[in-house]
Parts: sequence; structure tokens; C-alpha cells
Amino acid sequence: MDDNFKESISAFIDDEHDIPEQDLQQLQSDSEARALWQRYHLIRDVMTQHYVSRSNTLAQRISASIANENVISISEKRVRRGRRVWQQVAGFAMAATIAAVAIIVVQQQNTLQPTPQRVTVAPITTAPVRLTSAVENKLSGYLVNHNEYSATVRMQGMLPYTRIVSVTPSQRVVEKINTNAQR
Amino acid sequence: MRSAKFFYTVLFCTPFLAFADAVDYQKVESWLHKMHHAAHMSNYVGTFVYQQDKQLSAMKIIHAANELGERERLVSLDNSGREIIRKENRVICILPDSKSVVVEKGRPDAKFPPAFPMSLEHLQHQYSFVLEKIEQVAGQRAQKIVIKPNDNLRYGHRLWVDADSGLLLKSHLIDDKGRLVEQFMFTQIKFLNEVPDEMLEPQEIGKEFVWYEAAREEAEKNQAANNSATDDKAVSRWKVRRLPAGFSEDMQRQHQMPDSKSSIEHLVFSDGLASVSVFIEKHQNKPDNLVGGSRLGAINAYGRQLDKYHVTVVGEVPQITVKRICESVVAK
Repeated sequence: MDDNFKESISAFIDDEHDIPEQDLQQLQSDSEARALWQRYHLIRDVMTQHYVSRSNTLAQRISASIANENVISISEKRVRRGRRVWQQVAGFAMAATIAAVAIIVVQQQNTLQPTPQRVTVAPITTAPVRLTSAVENKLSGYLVNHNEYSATVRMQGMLPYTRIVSVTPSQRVVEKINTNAQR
Repeated sequence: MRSAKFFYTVLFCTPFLAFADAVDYQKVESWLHKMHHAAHMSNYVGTFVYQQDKQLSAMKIIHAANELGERERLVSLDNSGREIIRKENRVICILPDSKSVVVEKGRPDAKFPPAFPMSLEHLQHQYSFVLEKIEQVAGQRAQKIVIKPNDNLRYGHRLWVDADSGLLLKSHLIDDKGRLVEQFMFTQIKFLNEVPDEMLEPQEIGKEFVWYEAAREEAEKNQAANNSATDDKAVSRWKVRRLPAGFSEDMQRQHQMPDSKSSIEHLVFSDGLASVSVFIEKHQNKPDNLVGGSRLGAINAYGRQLDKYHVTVVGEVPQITVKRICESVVAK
């Protein structure tokens, strides 16, 4: 598998340009290519703290250093990556300029609160957490119902359902938002 | 001097700009009609890549339509077995991760073929429409259309519509900062005269899978109560005080979720392109309600408690919009 293929996959992930058709064909037919795709997934997940790990990885140290900032939210800071970062992929080494992207937060919501809770990044000793699966499952159920009635579905057919089935629930990034930062 | 020159330049150009807009508007409308028709009436098999934030997936889609209706099947290509099938007015979600199958009823008043859901005349107050160039997508010539919102309360769209069939081949969802929220792109597409039935059947579902389906009688009873707009029982007890510009109520219904005994109210609001659902449920003794904001790619959700009820708003709109709608739900 050549470097051009790897570059085109990573550039697609970085929204720089679309994957050329022949690379997409390769992705579908070549198990090694698919394995690479999965590795990029994992790497990206670790870089953006979507990967729940018990060890004190570099990702967690970076997130801990950002913990003192106000966690926003919807305004995702663009992750700055260049070719250099992707080439360091094997060692999971990351550029220090990585900014926080969606932080998965979970607080076990045993008590219902009327106001949105302030979101903070987990401290270094705690792995990041998610919305509970009960809340996520309920939201998925709502989404299925919403899809049946939404205008977009009627325009685009099944494609909105890809939001539900495209990833496993454990990989799904459901981000808790600090809405106090919203106008 | 310079400002005068600028002024006259603008004045001179304005009629042409207006004319260009009028031409684009009609052409865009024609393309969107074509796209809508193709989405529901084509027979095809394809694979596409889907990106939501930084997560990428590959999916397979099979779609068949005849005079009786349409059937669709969407399969995740990561060997997880996740798929969704729509047929005979049901949506069947097969989720091997949780060893469950969830069955929901489709929209009961759905006509086939479905009516074009948008009024461009109405939409142009909230969005601008531009036809851009023809580009290649999945080996096909595709017309690019850009739909830009006039405010930050809704997303923008870039659409690439197959010049021949009208099928949507690629789509970007853009936030108010011009960032890509979600995209999908066909990598392979094959149009067929007829789709073999077996292609639309789900893979075998294990005996250990749990099926969740709302009791049919309950669902039908609720729907009958909801059918007449003038029937007092069907009118919702709730309203949204502060709807974003351009949004109006599309429909309302009572619904029983498949895994719950309680009935929920479901209201749908739309600006013609984007839709938002409001779900209102009496509190159960379960910690499964969303409190505050949440986002899954293009979908934003916001939940809050309202007296003995819980209100959850879900839609493919920015967080600010679901929050605003949720916070302004009141009892009538």
C-alpha cells in the first residue's frame, strides 16, 4: 500500500479533499487497506480523546492540561495536523498543538436537574466518560422517530438513518455540551 | 470618488444579480424535484462513505420502488451486522451490539410517492440557493447545488445531484463557521430495473435477540385519536413559544415508544428543509432522560425537566436552535 493512498485517506479525514475513486475502490476490496482505515480511526479517537483507556496516555495528559479551560462546546477548535503527525502515527506521538475536540462526558444522572450541568474535562486519573447508555438509547429511539417525520428524510431517503447505524454505540461520539457558552 | 464609482457599479450590477438569482432559483427547484423523485422512485444498489465529525464509516444501501411503495435496506460495512430496513411502513433497526431489534411504525399518513416536502418560495426567506458547476462523483456527472442559510440557526448544504438520474450522490452539511459537520459520498452506484427480494432481506437475526415493538393496537388507537385536526383530543397540550424564524408546526402525534409503557407526545417543526422534533413524556422513574445539550454529529439534542414532564428536542440543526426551542416549550 503506497504513501499516496495513506495521504488521501488522512486528507479526507482532515476535510482537505475527497478520496480519489481508485483509493475508495482499494478501500473496499483490500483487507489491508481496511485495516489501515480502522487504525486511523483508532488513532484519531485517541488523539481526540474518544478512546477510553485506563493508562496515562499522552492524550490524557494533554486533555488534563486543557481541563482548566472552559470546555466549549459546539465550537470545535480545529485540530491542527500536518503530514508530520500522520507519519508519527505508529508511535501515537502527537503534536502539542492538538486542541480539545468533543469531549465525551458522562455523569451518572441519578438526579434530574433543571439546569444544564457545567461540563468539565475529567482529571488525569479518570478516564473520560460518556452519556449513559440508557440516555443514548433513548436518544436513538427519538432519532428513529424524528427521521420518519423530518423533511430531510423525505428529500434524502434513508441517508439520515446512517447516523444511527454507522458506528457501534460504544464508538459513537455523543458529546455533552456546555450550553452556558452559547449565546 | 471611489465610493461613487462603487455605488454606480453596484447599481448597475444589481438587476443582473437579481436576474441571476431568479434563473438559479427555478433551476434549483427543478433539480430538487428531480432529486426528491429519484430518492424515492429509483432502484439501485450502492456503497458510500459517511463522515460524522471525525468518524468515518462505509455503508451499503439497497433501494427498490414499485407501485406499492418503496423498500430500503442500509447495512454497515464494518461487519458489525448493524442495519436498518424500511418496508411496509415499518422501520426495523437490527443492532447486534445490543442484541436487539427495534421496530418502529413509519408515518401512517405517508403517501406514496411522497409529496415534494419543500416550498422554495417559503425557503428563500431563510436560505439562498446557488447552482455551481458540474463535478464528478462516483464516476457520474453531478450538479453541485449550494444552499446557504441566512442565520446561524440552521445548517447549510452542499449537494451533488446525479445529472442523469437525479439521485443525490454526495452531500455536505455545513455549520455557521463553514465547517463540515457531516458528509456522505457514494463510491459506487448501480441502477437496476428490478432489485431481487433477497437483497432487501436482513441477515439472520439470532434467537437471543430481543425485539422491541410498540403494541400494534396501542399505536393504532393513538393514531386514530390523532387523525382529525379538529378533534379536541388530538390537540397537543403543549406549544413552543419561541420558534426560530421560518419554523412552523408540521405535525403532532401521540406515540408509544417500543421499550416503554408510557405514551409520549411528538411534535415536529420544520422550516421546509430542516426539521426538529419535540418529545414530551411524563416522568418515569428511570434515569434515561437527557438533561442539557448533546450532539451526535449533525444531530443536536437538548433536554430539560418541565414540571412532571421531560422535554427532549432533537433535530439536524445547531445546538442553539434545539436549546431555544426546548426552553420555550410551555403547557397551553
